[in-house]
Amino acid sequence: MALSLRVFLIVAALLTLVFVLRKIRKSQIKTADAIFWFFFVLCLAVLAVFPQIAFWCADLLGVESPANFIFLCIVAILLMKEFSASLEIAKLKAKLSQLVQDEALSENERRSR
Amino acid sequence: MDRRILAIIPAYNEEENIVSTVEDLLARAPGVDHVIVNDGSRDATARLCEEHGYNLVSLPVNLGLAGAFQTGMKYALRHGYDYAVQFDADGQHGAAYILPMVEQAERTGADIVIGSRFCEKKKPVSARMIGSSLITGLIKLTTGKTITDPTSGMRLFDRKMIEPFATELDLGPEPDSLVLAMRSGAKVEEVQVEMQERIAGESYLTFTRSMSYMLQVCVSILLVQWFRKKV
Repeated sequence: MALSLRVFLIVAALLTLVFVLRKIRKSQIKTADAIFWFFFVLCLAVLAVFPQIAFWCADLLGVESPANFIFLCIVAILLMKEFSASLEIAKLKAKLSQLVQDEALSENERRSR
Repeated sequence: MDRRILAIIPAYNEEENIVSTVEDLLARAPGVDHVIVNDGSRDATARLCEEHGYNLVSLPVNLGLAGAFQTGMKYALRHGYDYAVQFDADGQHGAAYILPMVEQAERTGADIVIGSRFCEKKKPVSARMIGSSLITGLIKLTTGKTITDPTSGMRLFDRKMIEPFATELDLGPEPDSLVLAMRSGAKVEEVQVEMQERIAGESYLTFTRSMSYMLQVCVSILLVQWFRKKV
């Protein structure tokens, strides 16, 4: 794995960390969600510092290069995150529409009383 | 004749049609109550309804047809109606057909009665009707029942159907919901009705929307509905 990719991973990890910490400071992210990003950053850093892990896993799965293995991991993690986000959105939509409907129906009842 | 019937009229920016639609309903369907669900319209729809003293439920934000229709079903559930009929605000549906639809439900014991344009008449050939025939075919394939006009927006639901449609998530006024209801044991009948072209305003269905609608309905009927819990 090229040194430049390792440096890039570390820089990306650091920038992500700084970004998430700033969002925490401004209370724009929930702690539970921030933890996911901390782990993400940690994984990137570990892989950059110990590229042997990537070599070993790439061998195990028959992936040509360790860099490809890292991309595969990141894509997989982000897809899972995307899926859970879409579940979350569906839940929020359902709650919102229930709130809007109940509010409108109550308003109608108040007026007709 | 002690059954109570509610016409649910979802309305989004329908200031040009809403008054004539409700007046038609009041004149031609005596004894049928109405509720207009104003779906966050930005025009004078709500004001016109209030001025005329119509029964109005006004959603503070736009939820789309499914959310507006469900609001009407919740209204029907809260007020204990025996039948609820989905009725377009744009004047397409004839109010005179509501009572015959109710009679059909009472005579046959149907849970859902569809006001069909093609019960006794042939479907004309057009892009939209090819889509309609495709959905008819898919429903026949998955439930064994023939629904001649699955996309008709005029549908009557009995008490047994009002509850799931009022409370279930993602049970909209669409053909795939009919399939789920039928698979759950609901009996569906059709009654021949006439429909007008839109009197004023623009139709919601543009070409790309029609295509994505068709795709959604087809995939939903063929795949998704098999995995859903019965209602």
